[in-house]
This record gives sequence, structure tokens and C-alpha cells, in this order.
Amino acid sequence: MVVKVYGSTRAACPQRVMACLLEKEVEFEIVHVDLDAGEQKKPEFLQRQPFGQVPAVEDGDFRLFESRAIIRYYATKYAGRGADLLGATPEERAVVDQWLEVEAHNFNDLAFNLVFHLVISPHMGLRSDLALVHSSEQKLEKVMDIYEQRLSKSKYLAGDFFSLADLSHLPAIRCLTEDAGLGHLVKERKFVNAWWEDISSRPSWKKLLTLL
Amino acid sequence: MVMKVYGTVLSTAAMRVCAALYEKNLEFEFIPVDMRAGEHKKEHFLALNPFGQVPAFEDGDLKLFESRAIAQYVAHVYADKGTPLVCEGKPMATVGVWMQVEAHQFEPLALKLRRELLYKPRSGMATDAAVVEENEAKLAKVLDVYEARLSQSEYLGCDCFTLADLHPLPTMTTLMGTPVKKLFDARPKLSAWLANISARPAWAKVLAMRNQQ
Repeated sequence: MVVKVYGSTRAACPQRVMACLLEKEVEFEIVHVDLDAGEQKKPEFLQRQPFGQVPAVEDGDFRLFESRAIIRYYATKYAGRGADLLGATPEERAVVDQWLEVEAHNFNDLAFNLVFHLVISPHMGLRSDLALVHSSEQKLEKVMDIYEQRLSKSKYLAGDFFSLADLSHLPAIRCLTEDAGLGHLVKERKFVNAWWEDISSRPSWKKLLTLL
Repeated sequence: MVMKVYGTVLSTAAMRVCAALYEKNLEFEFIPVDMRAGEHKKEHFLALNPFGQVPAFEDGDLKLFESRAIAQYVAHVYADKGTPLVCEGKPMATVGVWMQVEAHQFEPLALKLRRELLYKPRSGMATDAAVVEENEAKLAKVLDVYEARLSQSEYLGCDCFTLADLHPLPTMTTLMGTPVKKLFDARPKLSAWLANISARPAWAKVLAMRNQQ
């Protein structure tokens, strides 16, 4: 049975799930949720995702939400298939989890502020908070300096293997560099740039871009 | 070699890790980091956590940071010791969902309220009532989701205590010492669950650590 991913192909969190399913060669279908019309806040969708956010997933009878939980589930379930996104040992797994948490807690909110105020707000005809954009960009520069330091010693975030930790960054970095005009965050850093070139060249990510 | 946790007893993130270690009956050394003196931003600590945040953790050669990653490591690697904090297959996926709910839906609002209601008064700054009102309203909606979940399930992730329940415990305990307590008291399933998990012996040990400082 095909996994159903409820969301929009243009939204970062559904893209995170799609990227993982593509890496693990899991067949899926996108069930479009009209975010502009607020479909995600309607009672029917709230049954699937009580916080009114995308994505939600339906796999036969089994339902999940929260993109980072969904990717962990499929990476674990299909550990033997395709790239091993969780590392080969418990210690490697712990370092993958560490950098997944870094993405969630040190990177995501800053990236979201920038994407929301530079890309989404203009699209929706809302006022952008430029002071927040400025402070978020400055803070994100410092975070990217730490990534640069890490990636100068390690080919990928969790070690010498591509993992969920790298994958989790793909949607937001694509949006920051291509839609928000903040390519310099990546390009000005030698190792971050090399890492981005590498992970965004993966066949599964290229395949995802054709689905947008 | 004994595991090491670097942090402060005032850090909910550090207490999250200590709670996991106590649940597993694992010995560890707690090494205080003097955050008031800015120790967490100094070179020797940045070598443990380049983001300059507590906690940091060592188990032999393995160094980790990010409390939720550390707790998951402890839970998986020491699966056969103490309380099982994780499970397998689909139930573990649901545990994973509620771990993300804590991290993305609950914690950001909780930390804003903690800042207004505890940190600012402590440092002589005025609480912003509008920020409190706004975030209490948002938190109320999140806690409604917790209430609905706990009406269907004894614990958040599955039918036993797991990381899904442990992760929010430190910050919820902190909020219970503020006027936000009323939001918990108004939700019977949520408050019963919180009272239940707060009574766990491992949590009593964490509170004892805090009270000693």
C-alpha cells in the first residue's frame, strides 16, 4: 500500500518527509492540502494533525504527524534499504540524533523567521518584520560558522556518512538560498558550500525538485 | 568509566538527561557549569558543545550534546537497564511523534512563559503581561491536545512511561511553580498524568539534586 503524505509539495516539512521516503525508496502519494485556503486548520484535517500543520502521513491504518518523527520512523523501518540514514552503530545513531536536534533547535526557528518574512509574508500580502529578519540572519550566520567548523572535520554532519541530520536541512536551505536570496550563508563558507553541493546533488533530492 | 553530565540544576535540559539516567539506574557524575560566570561560552566548554549550551555529556569516548539526543542514546544503549524508555515499531513511532510535540509545540511557548514569569522578575525586569496573555492562550490550545491524547492513552506515546512523557516533565514542573499552573489544573487527564509521572522515584532524585544546590 502506498504511503499517503498530506501536505503541499512546496512546504518545507512535507519536503523533509518526501526526501526521506525517496531515499528509502518508499512509494508515496501526495494528498494536497491547500494551505493558502487554510485547509490545514479545518476540522477534517485537525483529525489527522491536531495542531493544524502539515505534513500528516497515513500508511494503511497507521497515522503519524511531525515530520522529524515521520522520517525517524521510516529510516528505522527501512534501515536495510537504500542509504543507512541512522548510522551503523548506537554511537553513530546518537550523533545523528544530536545533529537532528541541532537542526530543530538551533537552525530551524531562525531559518523559519527568514523564510516567513522574506518569502511567505510577501506572497500572502502581509507585512514583513525586517528587524526580526536582520537579527535572525545575524544569529544564523553564527550558527553556520559552527556548521563550518564541524564540516571542516567531518564530511557530513554526523560523520563520514549522509544521514537524516543532513537530510533534515535540505528543504530550508533550498528555500533560503533560492527563494530568500540568502545564498551567501552557504556560499561564503567553504565546507558548508561543499556539503550543500554534495547533499543537494543526491538523486533523491533532484527527484524531489521535479515534484515541486 | 562513569558517565558525565555537564550542566546546572537550574537547566530543564540538564534535568531531562539526569531524569533519564536515574530512570535507568545508571551512575553518573554531574559536573556543574557556572553559567553566571559565562563558563558555557568559554573554550573548554565549547569543545563539549560548540553552541555553548548545557547540557553536554560523555560516555567513555562518546561526547554528545542536545538533551533529547542524549536521553535517546541512554534509552537505546541501556535498553536492558531500569525503566524501558523506548519501544519498537509503530508504538515507538508514536512515542517519536509526542517527543516532537514536546519540542516544537510545547517547549517554545513554555520557555517564553518561563522567561516572563520567572527569569525577568529574578533579574529585576518587568513581566510583559501581554506576552504572558498571548502565550498562555496558545499554550492552552496545545494543552487541549495533550488532554485529548491523555483521554485515549494512559501515557503520551503508548501504554507505558517513555521518553515522550519524560521529555516535557522538567519544563512542566517549572511552569507548575507559576500562575500557568491553572492551565494544568483545568485539565483533569493532563493534571492526573503529570501528578503520576512527577511522583516517580527517578524524578524525586532529580528534585533532590536541585534542592541540594
